[in-house]
Amino acid sequence: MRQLIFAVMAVAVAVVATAADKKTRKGKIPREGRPGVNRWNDKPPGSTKPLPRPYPGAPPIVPHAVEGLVISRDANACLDCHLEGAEIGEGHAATKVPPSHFVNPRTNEVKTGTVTGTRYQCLQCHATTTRMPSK
Amino acid sequence: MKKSITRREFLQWGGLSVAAVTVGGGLIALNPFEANAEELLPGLKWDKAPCRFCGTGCSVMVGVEKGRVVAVRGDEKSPVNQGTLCEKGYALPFIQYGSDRLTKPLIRKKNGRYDKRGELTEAGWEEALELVALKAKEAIAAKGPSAAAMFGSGQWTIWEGYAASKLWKAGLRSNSLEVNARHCMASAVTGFMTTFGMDEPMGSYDDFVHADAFILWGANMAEMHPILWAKITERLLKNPDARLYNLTTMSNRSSEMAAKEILFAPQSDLAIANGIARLLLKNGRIDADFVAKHCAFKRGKENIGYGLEDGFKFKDEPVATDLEAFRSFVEPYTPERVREISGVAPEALEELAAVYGDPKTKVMSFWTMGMNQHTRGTWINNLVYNLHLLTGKISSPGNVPFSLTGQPSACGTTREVGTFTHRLPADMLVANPEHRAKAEEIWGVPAGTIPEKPSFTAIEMMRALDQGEVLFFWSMTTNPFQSSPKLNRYRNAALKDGRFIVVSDIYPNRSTEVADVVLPAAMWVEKEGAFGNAERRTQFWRRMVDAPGEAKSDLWQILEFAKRMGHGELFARSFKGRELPAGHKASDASAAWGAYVEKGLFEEYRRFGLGHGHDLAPFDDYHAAHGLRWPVVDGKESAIRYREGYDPYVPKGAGVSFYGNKDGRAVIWQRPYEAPPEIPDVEYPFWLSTGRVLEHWHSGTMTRRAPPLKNAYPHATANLHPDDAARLGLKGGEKLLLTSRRGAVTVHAEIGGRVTPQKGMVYVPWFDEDVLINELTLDAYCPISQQADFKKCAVRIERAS
Repeated sequence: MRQLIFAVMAVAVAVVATAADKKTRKGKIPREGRPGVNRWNDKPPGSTKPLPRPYPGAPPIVPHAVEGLVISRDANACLDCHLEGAEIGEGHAATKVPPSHFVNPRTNEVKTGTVTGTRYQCLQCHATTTRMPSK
Repeated sequence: MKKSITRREFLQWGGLSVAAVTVGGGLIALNPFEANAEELLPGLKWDKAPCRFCGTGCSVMVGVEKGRVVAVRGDEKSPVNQGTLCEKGYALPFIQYGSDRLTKPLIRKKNGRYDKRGELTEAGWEEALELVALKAKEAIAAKGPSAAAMFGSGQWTIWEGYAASKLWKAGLRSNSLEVNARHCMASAVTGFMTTFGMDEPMGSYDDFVHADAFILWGANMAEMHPILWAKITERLLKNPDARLYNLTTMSNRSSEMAAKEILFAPQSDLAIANGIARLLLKNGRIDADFVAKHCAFKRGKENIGYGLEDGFKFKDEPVATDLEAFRSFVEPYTPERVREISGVAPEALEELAAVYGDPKTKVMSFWTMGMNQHTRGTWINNLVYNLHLLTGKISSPGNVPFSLTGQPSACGTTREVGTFTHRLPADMLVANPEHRAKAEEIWGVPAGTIPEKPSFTAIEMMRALDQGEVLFFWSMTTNPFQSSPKLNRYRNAALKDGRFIVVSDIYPNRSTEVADVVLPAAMWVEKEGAFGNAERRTQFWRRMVDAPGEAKSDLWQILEFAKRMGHGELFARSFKGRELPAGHKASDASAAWGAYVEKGLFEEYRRFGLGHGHDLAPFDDYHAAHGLRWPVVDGKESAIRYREGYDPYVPKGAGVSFYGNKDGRAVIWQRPYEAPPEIPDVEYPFWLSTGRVLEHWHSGTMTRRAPPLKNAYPHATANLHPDDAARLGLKGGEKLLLTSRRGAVTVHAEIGGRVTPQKGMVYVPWFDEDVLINELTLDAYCPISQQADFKKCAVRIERAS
């Protein structure tokens, strides 16, 4: 499993940069916006496969819902599965937190059982997504 | 496979210097970017640059392959972020490569000629620049130098801001130079200037590891300053006694780590701060010795208005008072009265007072737009400084009131270079004859060149555009026709006959669509640059890749314009003898002038700050260092100011000196609570607050073109409290019509999401060009800073038909 995950990580994904909008805006001034609605990812953790990284080495994107997953001083819902790369059904495991996340870059102190403090807020580096592949 | 990794095995890896290690028979790859990207991504060329986004100022290692940025990683050598980035930082490789990047100048034309009602049509640089210069000259001829306005931002590099300031103030003899930072940091500046006589924080990011308590004053750092939030998190996890208090008008992610979330009514932070000061005095929890030695007391005018009417003027008249007068002033702010104004329980107020008052607890206070975008923004900055001054918890490790910034060079460019109508570099003012004389001497222009009267601040400039007092308006690195408050009025102003709008930008946006001329800009590592972050850290980067098509840096554009306005010589003399080093990848500006333009401008700019506490290091030092915090004296940066042993400007034996003020004392201000100008009523029953989300930055011109960010948070939302939604019968995702006295937008509802406002409030981020929320906001401002309040106005919410 691990090899598969890292193989996915290593794939250089050619990302077509989507323009925010393809309006030409030559002349006319559209005042009426066309607001969209966000379809938040509602796939439960464990039900989806890892997604390709945006580019090699970029932090993995979260392929599941994050609503209700609390990160507080006493609990870190992400680490419950990802700390050890828990088996999460159908023969696949949660992406394991890499060793770098256990080392305090300032003091070189190494944590066990949890990540180092500056890595604790998972969702500040790992983006969620509203665009899951259809299959 | 499942074997856990031991501490010893970690240590064997020797600071992560190898790509992979064998554990339990399997191969474990280290996170490649944090280990050694150079081995895992062979063939890339890596160089450092500060992040393009917020004011935290993370340092990024940029990976270039075949002339294109293809990867980034956090700069392991940077003390700011130590090898990590937030999700915006990790999206940097996408921001330069959106498919609709502007690559050619555009002129609005009909039948082959410039026409205000024509279509944006591709043109050459020569034609575009000639037209821009002609229109600037026409504006000046018609209404004087102040009719030609430049509107920049805290995303300008230091030398771009400096070149614009020199051209406008010494060349065009116009003070019509402003920046979007007026809407971002102006209240922070006036707060610093009125309290300390000198801008920018006294502490630095070194303070996080020493602090025992973190108090957020309306700052959702978990989303807006993630890397600093990581530092707070580290401290909270490390020290079980450390506490975080989230003073806020809405529940947000920052509450998840908090000992207490304290919700307060908009604007009532003024009452809360005075209430805490009262309790400190009443409980004998002030540092009387510190106050006696290092503080002075003042009061200013009250009932100072809101700047809503055109032509509004205000001048404060400070009067010296004393501790006893201050004590009487705060006496009415009893816990009960504070509860009436703010909704904050007396116990919570007392707890805050206990934290600020305990001599053993080191306190860091943080704020950004919640306090700055505030019709009493200067006052609330003053009042939070009061708490740190009364308790002496300032300018020592872990004790600092910390004004955060929102833009990468709000400090470095707009504040330090002084690209505001009233300012000159290094905290100097156009109104001060000595300051003007010094600037004229450095710039080599005759005495009397720089106009002594400021012309227009940001809102005044927009109003002047509407009234026809400003006829030429050039914006760079900002999107004012999406980001200004009361947008309806000012978008219409731009379309009026006789107004000429130039927009230098990287992508089409809400400002280019009202422009007469659009100039394609080079950005970030397509040019050589320098930014200054929130902890006074100046960071340089080199040009790494070429700009697409005919896009040119703002610096190149300013200098070409200067030539056409007859002021080329003003700059040519700055570049004399500044030869480009061999092998240096010259910027477009340096190539055009055949000199090291950036070095010439920086070394000249440096002269403004030397010897009075604003010292910057020599140019070359910054290309070598991973940032240095000013004042840099004898090659040493300053992590803490105003404290002996840390700050070279504090005289021996003084201990502490607030030398920005002539008497060396910081000012404790008497500033009352005053209500905001527009409050919800029967017709418009909800507060509207605007702001950002983690994934997007400002108006979204860059982040909406980065797929990982765009896909994470595609559209703006109207965040509502579940009780309000239930009362109105609204469901999540439903399309709403939001209306204020000034305009309306449609936007989809988000209920109980990561931001849940208190009841009676709706929160809408402003990154989405399809939700021009600023059509609803009010252009009321703090009369002292003239910064607008984007956080408070009254709106109605309905289901959209």
